[in-house]
Amino acid sequence: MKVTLESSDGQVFTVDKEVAELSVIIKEMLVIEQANQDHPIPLLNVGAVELAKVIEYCEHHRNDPTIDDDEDYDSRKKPIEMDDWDKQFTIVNKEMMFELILAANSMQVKPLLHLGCRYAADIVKRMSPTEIRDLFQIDDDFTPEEQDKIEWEKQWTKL
Amino acid sequence: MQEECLAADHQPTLMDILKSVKSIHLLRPQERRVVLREVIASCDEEDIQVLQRLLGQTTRSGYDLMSSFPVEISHNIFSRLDGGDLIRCCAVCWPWRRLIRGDSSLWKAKILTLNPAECFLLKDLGTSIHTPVQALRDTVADSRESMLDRIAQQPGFIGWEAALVRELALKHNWRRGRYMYEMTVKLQKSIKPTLLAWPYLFMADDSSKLYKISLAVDQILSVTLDGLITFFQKGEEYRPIRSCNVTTKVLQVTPVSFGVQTFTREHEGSAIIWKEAICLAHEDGVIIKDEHSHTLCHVYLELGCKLLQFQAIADHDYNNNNNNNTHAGDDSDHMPTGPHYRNELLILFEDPKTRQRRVLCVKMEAGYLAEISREVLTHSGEFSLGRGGDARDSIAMYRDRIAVVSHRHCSSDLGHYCVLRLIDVKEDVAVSTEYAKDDSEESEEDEEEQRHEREVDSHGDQDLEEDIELDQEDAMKYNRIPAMRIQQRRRDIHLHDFAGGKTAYRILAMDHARIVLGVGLKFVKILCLI
Repeated sequence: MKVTLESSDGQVFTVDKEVAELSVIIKEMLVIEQANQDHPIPLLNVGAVELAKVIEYCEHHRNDPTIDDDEDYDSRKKPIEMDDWDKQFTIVNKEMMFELILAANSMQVKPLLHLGCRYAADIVKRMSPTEIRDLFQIDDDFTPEEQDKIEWEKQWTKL
Repeated sequence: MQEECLAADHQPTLMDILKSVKSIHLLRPQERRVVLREVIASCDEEDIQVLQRLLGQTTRSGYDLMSSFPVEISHNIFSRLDGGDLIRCCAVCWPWRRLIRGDSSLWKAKILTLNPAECFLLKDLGTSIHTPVQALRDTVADSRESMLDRIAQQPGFIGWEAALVRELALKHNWRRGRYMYEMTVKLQKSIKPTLLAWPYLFMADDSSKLYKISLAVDQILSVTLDGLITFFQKGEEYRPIRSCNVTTKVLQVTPVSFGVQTFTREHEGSAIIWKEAICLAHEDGVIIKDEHSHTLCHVYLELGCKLLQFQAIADHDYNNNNNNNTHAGDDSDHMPTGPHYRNELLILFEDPKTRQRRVLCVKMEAGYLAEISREVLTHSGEFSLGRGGDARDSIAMYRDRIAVVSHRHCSSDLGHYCVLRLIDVKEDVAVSTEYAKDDSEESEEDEEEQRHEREVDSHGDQDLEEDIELDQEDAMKYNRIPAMRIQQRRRDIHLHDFAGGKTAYRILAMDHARIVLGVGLKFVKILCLI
């Protein structure tokens, strides 16, 4: 069975129902609006570029066992397996990945959300505050007194 | 701009509104601004976030992706970082700092992954209520978090985030051989002090029959020269509760508690339950007995090897306490970011041929009923544990760490000097202090600023209590030192020749955060690494 999805900028995508159901939101919508399947499902927070990428991800992971429990994604307990395809998938610029995280969050595609968060966490891991500031183009807005305290805390993080 | 449509409270369809919004360019600048202001006013918080993000994409500058995420996403991302990363992220900018520090569950989760035996917060701050290990033992496995909550209600509690900073500071200092603070205790006569568990410094008179003492979770046990082991229960004071005899000459006695776990074995037709073990070391190995004095097993060294010291490590796996037989010596990749739960004996011994000191790691079954495997730890050539034979060397161990004070005699102009080496046998890290030739100025400074000298009388049981009180007072004082001042007190550990070689340093004991040194016969110096 096919389902049509509509991105925020009006582009329509047709995908298999089981692929679309990786998104918790769509799955719930399909249950509620069973009669109304002719209309495309509007995804107001997801642009066409991101939606295409999300669908690409869902297509690849269509046969993965579903994990309902949020706890299972908890990084401390069980890191999700990242296969070669996933690694390839995450080779995009960080703006795109961050958009994908938001898209995955609003569509509730949990494996993708966790993949994205892991990607984001890997970016800032082992980075100095200055490097992070440069990367995200953030301004240093601490006063000199605050700076002292921050320096004190920071000295212990050197390995 | 979809959010505009979401916020509009008219009845028209999405398409209608989109159409009218798209014609916004037909308006005059003044009018456009009125429309925009109206749109923003009708946005909710989430819409504003989207708006900010879209603006960031359009302008591509000065815009911070991370803090524009919904809270649950940023929490998800930050919870994947380790403590050091979190602190570094806190130093990026105010929005990040607010975001991370505002989320105490992030920090608490990091504390939960620490090993209680090496965690300052759990081991030291917890002691003021009750030994935290004890608290842990008495409660069911999944309530470790509630134990943390109880610690959080203590008066000395400094907040999860500050606590984690301290943990990092402690680790940092170990790796660099530094301490923050020192205390000196003056003794009246030659006695042997042993650090049991902070803040208890146990003094044993040399002339007494008492030979070795050790601390279990809530009791101490002593061994006399004729092999009598006595257990003292901790109450208002330590009272003897039971005793037993051993025939071997005991070098070291270490009680091991298995936490919430209990073990059962068959003995002459009846089941025997034990929940702690007592490890007694003699020159050739270690005898392991349960609390009923039944021997569980023997661990022998190879022929000719001489045991110097040992450490018994039995970490409690609170997440998996119902499963007695797993996790024996399991420090594989099962729990990549969590603590490593291990059951093992680390034995420091002297090789008969080379007289080189080495460490044997013996993996034990849970409950210490039998040995699983053993391996002599090898290290990169950077450091060695030194050679035996020098009677003036002294050694102390705490878990994977070994501290050695060795005395060297150099050429006539240098004379005697002492070196303190801190070695982490598992991480293969060593810090060696340097020989400081001229420390006279520094010593004077020491006297004025740092030293807390006091007379400690050390006769009999009543006086022991006094010692404890004094130490607690000191500990309280220490807890009140504001964080910023700690940094100024940090100093590298230098042991230098004292009074022309007459005063020797000995290492008496150590734990996760302190090293107890004997200076000559009458001084005990406690170096606090945090």
